[in-house]
Amino acid sequence: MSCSKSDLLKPTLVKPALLKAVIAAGTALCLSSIAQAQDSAPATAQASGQSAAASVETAATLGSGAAMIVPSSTVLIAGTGASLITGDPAFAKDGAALAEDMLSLGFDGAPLEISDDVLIADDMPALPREPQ
Amino acid sequence: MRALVTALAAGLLLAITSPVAEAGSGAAAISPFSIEASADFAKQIERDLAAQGARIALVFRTGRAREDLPEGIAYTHGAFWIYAEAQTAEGEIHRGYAVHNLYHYADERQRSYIAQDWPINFTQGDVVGEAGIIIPTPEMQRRLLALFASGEIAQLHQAEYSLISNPHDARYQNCNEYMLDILAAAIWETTDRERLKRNLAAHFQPARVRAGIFERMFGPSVDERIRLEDHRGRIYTTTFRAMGDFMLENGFADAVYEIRADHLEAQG
Repeated sequence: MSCSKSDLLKPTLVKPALLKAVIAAGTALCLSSIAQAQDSAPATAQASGQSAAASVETAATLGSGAAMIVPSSTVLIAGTGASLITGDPAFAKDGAALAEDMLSLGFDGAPLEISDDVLIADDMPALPREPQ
Repeated sequence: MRALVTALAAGLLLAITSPVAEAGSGAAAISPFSIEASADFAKQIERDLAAQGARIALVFRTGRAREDLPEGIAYTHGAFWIYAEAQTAEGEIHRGYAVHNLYHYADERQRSYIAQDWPINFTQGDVVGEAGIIIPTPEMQRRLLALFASGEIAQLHQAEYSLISNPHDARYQNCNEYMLDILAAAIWETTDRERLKRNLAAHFQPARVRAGIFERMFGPSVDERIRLEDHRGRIYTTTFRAMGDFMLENGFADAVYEIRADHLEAQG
């Protein structure tokens, strides 16, 4: 794919009061429905965004039927720009170097390895939690 | 005047009595699914992306039931998922995806910040068991990762938040527009937001949010995150479908699709 700029993308009617009230109510419902969920973070996510080297717990979940939590351990977020994003200079160099390594790996679409463990932020609610 | 007061009262009443399903600022979890189901869905998405060799992908979920969303909007949050290795203090290597989000603050909801968290944080905000996925082409993945690696994406963050921000205007930004701006920066190879907005205005067709004059009038009084100063005439915003169409039509994506959580099938 070529991504140069040049080859891109050739790309008054007066309503009765009651009707007004209904419309306003509909609006509130419509707009507040978007408002309920978009972009707000689970509390844990907000907290985890505060540090570059997130403190996480490792949980074995799949196939176990229940989440099992081991004592928390600090991890470095390797291979992403995470440390750069959160602006912690202590990790910026490592993050950039690791990202450079990742970029050098190529993008041939070969399947990537995924661990079975699930990373969970330290302050996740107590587990397991019953469905609401 | 009386009609105005009536309408305002009705709007406020609805806002107050609408379901308390806020996706995150409170301590109460919003997911109707168990933590195990959320974990399984997170891992299902990770495996789906990894099977295609995606080093970075755009993933969307909804924190609100579909029937409660405006026409044309299927997801309420989107983020970049980036393949990563995390090393524990014990030296174990965990391979999976890290999620890079724009969130608004819980107590100052017209302001946003950038946060990295994990797939399970993402799926815990899901209430329907479906996710929208965009897999960029290899060249787009390379450019996006280069942006993340350089730290230049910080220049693309507009902290002034609006729930229905206009992607053709630089004044406000929501999670989807943040992603779009990063995509645009990768495409046009600049982090100058004003320039990106001009290019997006010429080439990106956002989704229309249907709202009448009264909705415009009362929306901001219902929720401070609804800011309309960046809209002229009709309201347009960035959605999964709009971004997917844009990327597919212009050769920036290899795939745009939706997946359904396996745990839904298990539940019957």
